[in-house]
Amino acid sequence: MKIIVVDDEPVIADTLVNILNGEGYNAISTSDGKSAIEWAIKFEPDVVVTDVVMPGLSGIDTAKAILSQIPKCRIILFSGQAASVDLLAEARSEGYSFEVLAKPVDPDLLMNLISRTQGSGI
Amino acid sequence: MVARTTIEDGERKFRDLAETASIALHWVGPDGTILWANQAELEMLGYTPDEYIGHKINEFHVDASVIEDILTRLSAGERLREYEARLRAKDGSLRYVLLDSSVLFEQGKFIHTRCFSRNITERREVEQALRESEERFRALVNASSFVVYRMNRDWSEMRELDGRGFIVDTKQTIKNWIEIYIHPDDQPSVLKNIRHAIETKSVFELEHRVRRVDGTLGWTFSRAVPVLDNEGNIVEWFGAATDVTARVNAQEARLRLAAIVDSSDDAIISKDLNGIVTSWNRQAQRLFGYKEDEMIGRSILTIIPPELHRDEDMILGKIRSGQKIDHFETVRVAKSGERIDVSLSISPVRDDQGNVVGAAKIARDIRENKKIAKALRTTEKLAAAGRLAATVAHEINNPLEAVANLVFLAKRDLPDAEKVAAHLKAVKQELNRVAHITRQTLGFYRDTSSPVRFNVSATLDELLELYQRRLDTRNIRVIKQYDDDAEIFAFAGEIRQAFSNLLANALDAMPSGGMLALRVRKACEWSNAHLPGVRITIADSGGGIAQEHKQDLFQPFFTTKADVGTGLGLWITRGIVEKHGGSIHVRSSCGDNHGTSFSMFLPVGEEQKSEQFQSSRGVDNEVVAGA
Repeated sequence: MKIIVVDDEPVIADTLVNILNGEGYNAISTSDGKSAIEWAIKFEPDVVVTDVVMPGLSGIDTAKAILSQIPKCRIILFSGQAASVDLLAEARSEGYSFEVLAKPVDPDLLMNLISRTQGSGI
Repeated sequence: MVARTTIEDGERKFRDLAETASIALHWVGPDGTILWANQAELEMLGYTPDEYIGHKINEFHVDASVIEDILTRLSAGERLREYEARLRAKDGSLRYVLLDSSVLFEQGKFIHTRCFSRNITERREVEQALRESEERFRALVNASSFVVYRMNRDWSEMRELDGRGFIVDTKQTIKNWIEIYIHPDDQPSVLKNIRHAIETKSVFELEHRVRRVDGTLGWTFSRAVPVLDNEGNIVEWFGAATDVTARVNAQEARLRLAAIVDSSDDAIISKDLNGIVTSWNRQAQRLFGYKEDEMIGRSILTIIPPELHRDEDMILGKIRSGQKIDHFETVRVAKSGERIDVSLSISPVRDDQGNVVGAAKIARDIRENKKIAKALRTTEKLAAAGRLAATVAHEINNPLEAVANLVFLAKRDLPDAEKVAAHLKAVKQELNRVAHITRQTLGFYRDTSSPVRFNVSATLDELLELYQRRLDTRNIRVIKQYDDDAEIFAFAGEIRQAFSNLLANALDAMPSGGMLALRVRKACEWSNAHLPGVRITIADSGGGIAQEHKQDLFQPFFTTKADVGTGLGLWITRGIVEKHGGSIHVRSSCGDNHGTSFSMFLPVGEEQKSEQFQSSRGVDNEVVAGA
């Protein structure tokens, strides 16, 4: 299963990718929304795990752009601040319903979630 | 004999009748000699029979031509009726008489005149007095700018009135003058005063309302003197009246003002340029506990706390130069010793020539406001703490996320000590980040109980660090121009709060990037070059402040961020700056070169001072449009 992890803090994105790859997933990291979209088109991920509040494109705009290219892609958002609630409400009003995890996310819990992705296989 | 006796008896009786008749009667011979005069005539003129009878009649006439005419006409056989003449009495006074006279002729021969005299002196004198009085009146009318009037002796008639354009003229005697001229409510008092003046023959004097030429009501001060004849009887009255409408109106306005001043909820005090109290209203008495008579003539320093006495020099200095002081918040001391927070508005009082002669001062009790303001400040502090908590949570959650991942990896890579060491090293870094953030936060919220010396730009940088992530996520570029050694002596926590409010506003103004310019410069006060301090400018390139919002910026509860703002930030900020004796200005533009710049001046402050520099300056929150 292919996963893209997006976070503007490289230490977060990199450790998460390290964990996921250790579990047998094929994960890559990017540090902003724009490059995440570019990579998604080439890489065609099954899951995108993205931070919400980032410089440039927000995680939600990034997710929407990726879904328009790869509709079956599963999006998991993780966020550390209350401001993301507003962004999510806005997305919901546009018909998007994203899964959201609050930082800090327990890596076991995240993998448990990912492992339940439909049609998944490592 | 009998017949003769009878005739003689009859003649004696007639002679007695003539002698004792009440009408004056005399005979004059053809040569003008008085042959006989009765008692009434002698009494009228005051002569003895010897002094009168046997003398020439013309000696007693005042007007020679008159007696000449009388004698000529009588000699010609004419009969005179009610012929008026003037006689000289023994005491030198005049007697006006009406003569009825004819000559007794016997066989064509002039025997003597028979002259009856009616004394009309009294009537003539009254008439004369009136004439003279009228002449005097005329002279008075012509010489005076007053309304002048003449009344008859009992004021039942007005003989005339020259209204001088103030009230209508009366040219002919009228009886209903009181209805024409006097306001109905004032008629009883006018009549009462008239009665008293007549009874005592004294001056009539009264201020009352009159109907003016244009029909409106006016006020007049009216004064009338009785004109007396020789015997001291009132002949008539002369009056003069002045238009005092303006004065009475001014007086009423003054009374109204006095009533307003007295009923005011604010203490209203006036003082001269030496600070001596000249008026003290009821509320001043209530607020400060001193009675009016205790304070008038006393120095205003009585209610100024000793350590603020120099404020009074500043106030008087401003007043002398004609300046006003608006909403100057300070402290005054009541008689009980209680300290009262007041807001003062002081204006110069000028005389007619425009010279400043004193000051009028309105003191408002703001103890309640202070309590409310304190509660609001606490509220805002809590709200700020809440906002901060949200920011901090995010700042901490990110390193915690990293730590959680690293701990997972360390556990996974347990057999590989080198890898574990690398993970733990990264964990340590992240934990350092957390510790740094919590230290910053603590510094933000913890306040010192007394002022401390601190570096301004370092303080600003510490805050900036808290906002660093938000600056990054929004692509906000920061430009710093610092005088690195700028230090002030102040309540560090409060100053941090003020900076933080301005930084947060600047960031909120640039949701999608921009430029944040921070400048710290050692400088002097705009209006006082001798006050050293630091000017801090925090400028953003956001959309600017709408013109209609500018004047409300510093008001409590004013916010354009209805969901997240309390509307207290700038109000608190200004309060903090002013408490430190500083000032804050804002410049903003929504135009091409849009952006907002807050510039605050903070005095360096003195180590030995603590609380007292809070009242050294008035409010200075001018808003300047255009960047």
